[in-house]
Amino acid sequence: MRKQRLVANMKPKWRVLPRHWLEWADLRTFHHTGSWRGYVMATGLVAMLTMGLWLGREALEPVNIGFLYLLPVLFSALRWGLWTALYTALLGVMAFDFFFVPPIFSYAVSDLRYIWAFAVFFVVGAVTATLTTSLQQQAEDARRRARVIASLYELSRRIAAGNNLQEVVAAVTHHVQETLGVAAWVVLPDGSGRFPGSLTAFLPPRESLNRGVLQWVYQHGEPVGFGQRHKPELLYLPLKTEDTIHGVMCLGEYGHGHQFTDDERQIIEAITGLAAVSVARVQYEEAARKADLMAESERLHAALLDSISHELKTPLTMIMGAVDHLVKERGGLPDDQRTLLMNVRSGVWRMNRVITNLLGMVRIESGMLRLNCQPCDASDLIGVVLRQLSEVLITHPVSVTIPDDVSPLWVDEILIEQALVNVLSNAAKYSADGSPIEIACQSTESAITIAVKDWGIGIVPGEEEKLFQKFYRSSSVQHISGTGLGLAICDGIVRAHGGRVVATRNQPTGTIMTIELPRVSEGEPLRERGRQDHERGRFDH
Amino acid sequence: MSVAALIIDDEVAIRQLLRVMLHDFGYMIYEAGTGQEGITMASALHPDVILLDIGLPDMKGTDVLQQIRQTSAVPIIMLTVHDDQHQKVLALDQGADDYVTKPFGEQELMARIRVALRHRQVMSAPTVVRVGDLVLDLVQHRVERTGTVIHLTPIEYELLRVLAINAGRVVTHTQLLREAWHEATYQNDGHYLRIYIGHLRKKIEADPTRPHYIITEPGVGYRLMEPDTEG
Repeated sequence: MRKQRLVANMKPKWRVLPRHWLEWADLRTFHHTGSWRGYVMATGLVAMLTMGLWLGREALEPVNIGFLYLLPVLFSALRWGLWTALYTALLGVMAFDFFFVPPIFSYAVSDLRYIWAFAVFFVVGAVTATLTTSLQQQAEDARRRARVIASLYELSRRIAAGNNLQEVVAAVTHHVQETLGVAAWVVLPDGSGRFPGSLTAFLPPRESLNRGVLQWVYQHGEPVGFGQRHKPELLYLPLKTEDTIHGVMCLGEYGHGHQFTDDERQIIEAITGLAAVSVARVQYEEAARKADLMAESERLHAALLDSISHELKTPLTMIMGAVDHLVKERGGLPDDQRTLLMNVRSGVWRMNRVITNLLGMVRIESGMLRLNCQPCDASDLIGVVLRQLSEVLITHPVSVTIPDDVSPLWVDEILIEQALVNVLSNAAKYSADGSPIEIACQSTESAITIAVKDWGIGIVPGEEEKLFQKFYRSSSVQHISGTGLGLAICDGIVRAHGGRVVATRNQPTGTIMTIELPRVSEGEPLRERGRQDHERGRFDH
Repeated sequence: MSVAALIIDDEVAIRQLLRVMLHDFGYMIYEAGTGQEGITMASALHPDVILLDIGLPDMKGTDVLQQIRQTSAVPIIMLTVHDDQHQKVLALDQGADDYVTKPFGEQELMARIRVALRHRQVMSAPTVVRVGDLVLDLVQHRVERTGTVIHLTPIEYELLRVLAINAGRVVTHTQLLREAWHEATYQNDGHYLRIYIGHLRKKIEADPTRPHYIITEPGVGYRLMEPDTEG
């Protein structure tokens, strides 16, 4: 059983590494019993000393000899560590006893005072060994720390020079390669937290990276190593700051057999920490830069749209004004010329609507639609639209039904007005002169609906959905000019408000277009939303 | 004495059009192609009315407006495009008298100018305002339509009064709230305004869904129809 477990421990495989290597390394130092070479050398030292002392024994007192035996203990402690030093002390006592304490060549002790001497010797040896070892340990620690710090300083200097993620990551991997001589990768997740993310593209070949382990390390934030127990050949370390994991650093390659030592691991741990902080910094910087760019591009976009709108509408204004003036001026104009002028006038209006719709479409498509929601009444909206379309609707009797208890709408007036204009002008456009149009408003528990009913040519069955596609024009209306934008915009606007537009067939002919807008209850939520909107408005303008 | 109008617009054709239109009504015309020029001419020539394009190339229309307003109370009518309600409101709050939306008809423009001029000329508040069949007696606090007295609540009356003394002109939501409620209000109180306007319409309009007197200027405010000239 035990043997099997041992074998299992020796077999290279993926293991979660202890969180703090330093503790583990300390533990290992304590258990480190020294190499066999140390013991042999120590034995040799004691033997040589014994020989030397034997030759000069006439000139020395046994007490002096005892002291001289402390020398190899000291040396062993410095050179091979605590255990070897203790072994040397023991050996020294034995040699001292055997060769110099009468009776010579025997472990028997004639003078009991020597027993005390042995004890003192052993204690002094042990204490010296311990002190020396810990001193050496401290010196070693200091050296190690200095190495780590120097390494980190060098790395931080390189990282500071990097402006983007790519440079920072390259600095880290190069640094690892230079200081540790192993290949390193920094792998960052893609936008949805999947591995490997796009950023690995510029790194050295990464076929050998284990995707599943990457994902695991990223999710759990625990370091993982591949190899024999305590002798990992590959390290996958989370790049972790506070509570966020930014990516994974991978060190080592399959088959190279480089086993990471404790020293290296301490440096690696420090590098990982620095790399994590740097990656986080660059990522935040890039996010901020992106947001800035977005805002700037939105601003440009808006300015461009404004300027296009201005450019398109200015000529319309010229034509409109000129026609108006001509019609008025020439009161006695022949009827056909007057008709032509009036056609120009209605053409301008139509073009104006097309431009408004096109610009609206651009805004919706580019995601630049900013709702400026205000509470407003359906009756008010309908009134505005009817007024705006008074010339178009002059040939259609329009009836409006709005119950008194219809709750207010929370919408962007201008946009919903545009949606209604499109629906109503369609109703007028696709029905014969003189045929009525009905507008009915209703409020249900969750929504407010505005239905526009006409008795015109209606919609072909199966086209109820397609009507709202951009540039879609029904085969039944090919003979009537149009852009196929009106309903698409209407749909876009209503969707932006969280509502929907539904087309149904009216009986016996015609269409019912129903705009359904979510209902907002009056009172606190309204005020809350109002405040948010107000604040958002401030940022927008 | 003819009325002097200053046109500030960068489009030559628009200036020409406005000149022809206004000339027919006996206006004297000054033209400026840039905002800077407009400001200079406004202070030097003291026109009776200014038509100011909101989208000038050299500076913002609202900035031109502000600079002119620092020295003069001349009626200013903004020429705007449809989709910039915020700019309209901003301009009105900064002292513009009214606006017309491009493309505009001659009638509309002339009505705006007429109303703006009248408001500057009449310094004292009118005592009686007649708008179509509606008669508003501001001294006796009485409202009649075709001879029938209409009973209004104090707030409804205040709203109608503010609209009436500005008859023909657009009054922004903020202006209405400030003047009818006589106190600083939150912008969010707009929905009270909407409710009271609704009530008012039910009392004075023949068909509240097709208002004849109180016209909504979406996203900007309300406008009481232009009163009869003799009123």
